[in-house]
Amino acid sequence: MFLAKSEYLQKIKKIADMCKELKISVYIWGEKGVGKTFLAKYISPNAVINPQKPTINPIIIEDFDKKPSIEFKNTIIIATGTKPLNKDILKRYFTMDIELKPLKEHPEDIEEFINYFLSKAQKELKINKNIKISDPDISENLNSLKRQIYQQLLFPEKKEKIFELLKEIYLNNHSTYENELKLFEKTLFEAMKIKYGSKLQISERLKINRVTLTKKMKALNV
Amino acid sequence: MFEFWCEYDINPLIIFNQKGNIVYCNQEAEIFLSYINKKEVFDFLLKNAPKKPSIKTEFRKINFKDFEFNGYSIGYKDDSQIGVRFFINTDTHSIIYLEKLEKIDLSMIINFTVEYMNLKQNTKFTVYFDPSIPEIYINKKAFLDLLFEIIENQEKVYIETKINIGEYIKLNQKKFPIISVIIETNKKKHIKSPYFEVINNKKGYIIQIPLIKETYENHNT
Repeated sequence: MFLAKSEYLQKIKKIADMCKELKISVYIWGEKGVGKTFLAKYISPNAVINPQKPTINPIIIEDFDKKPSIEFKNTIIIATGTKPLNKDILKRYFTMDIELKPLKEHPEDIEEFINYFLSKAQKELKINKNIKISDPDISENLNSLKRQIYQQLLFPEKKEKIFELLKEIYLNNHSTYENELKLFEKTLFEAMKIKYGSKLQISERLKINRVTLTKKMKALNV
Repeated sequence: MFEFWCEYDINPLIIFNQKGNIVYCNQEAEIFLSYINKKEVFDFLLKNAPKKPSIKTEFRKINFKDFEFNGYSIGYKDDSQIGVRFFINTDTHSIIYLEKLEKIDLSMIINFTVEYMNLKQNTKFTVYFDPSIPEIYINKKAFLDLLFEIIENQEKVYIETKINIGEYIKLNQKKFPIISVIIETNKKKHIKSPYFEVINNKKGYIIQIPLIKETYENHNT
């Protein structure tokens, strides 16, 4: 499935469809996680990715810019990389190159991708939970977005589960009693600060003396 | 005795009398004169003729519309006749390699070029496609490379395709009709290709493609 809401991706899709039909060798480049391998597979669905042995199928070579040479003589070669190739190498092996722009340059598509990944993750993980992503992480484009969705989906709902996880972590490594408690206190105060704002309210809700709270917060740098 | 050799020479040879009428021209010159006005040629002769009765030969690019020559020899013995022999540009008559031919719809390749170039740059395209052109065997990569090279960094491009009626190209002892891809742009460079005949003219380029329809023609001997 090719998601394309923005005009930009629709153009890419059109070109990819034509490449598919014309059976053209293409070099696809762009930042990490923009969907280069996905596009390569879309153009040539029965291609072998990074083949070790010669094959009659079309081939897809990943990270071509790091090692710009081809060992096998296939008629259709689709390669991906993060940087544009120099003109001579491009002309020798490929007919054309396609640049995939990072997500931040076509933000209209982010919502579509979130919905797509979410429904995919829900099916895969068999979780029927709905999450809302208000601040999509596109630092690594689709990679980070996907990671964020899975993370939020797998996030434990009950406190007990978190403590169970914490137990696992303590089994592996821990620091001193004082440090561990400090960490816990800091997290708690930070959350309360976001939730209630004023120290007076926090002290009331947490049932702790206001002076003690202020002292502790100061010491913990909250 | 020499007339036979002159008649079938590949370089056009024309002899005028003093009034500018043609006394003799060989077969190649006949084709040339069917496109170019003889007065234009005669004026060129008068302008470039040697000052004394002799033969003057010069090598430089001369253009008469689509005809391009690499040089000429103008000569006369007396006042009654003046002759010229143009040297054809062998560049445009290069050997055309028929390699890696694949059956393809030409309109699709051109549409693809338009889409691709529109993604990379802002070019205004006007495309007229002759629907009577069948699917042909063509070296797809070479053709696309050529189109990309021509259209690269152009603001406005006009593309027209047509079959040249009555014109043929002889390749590997076989005659093929010619498809012309006329590309009018702001011409910036001289373009050549070992796979197609490319005519560089003032308005742009004309790519001439042999119309190869059958697979058994798909070999290069």
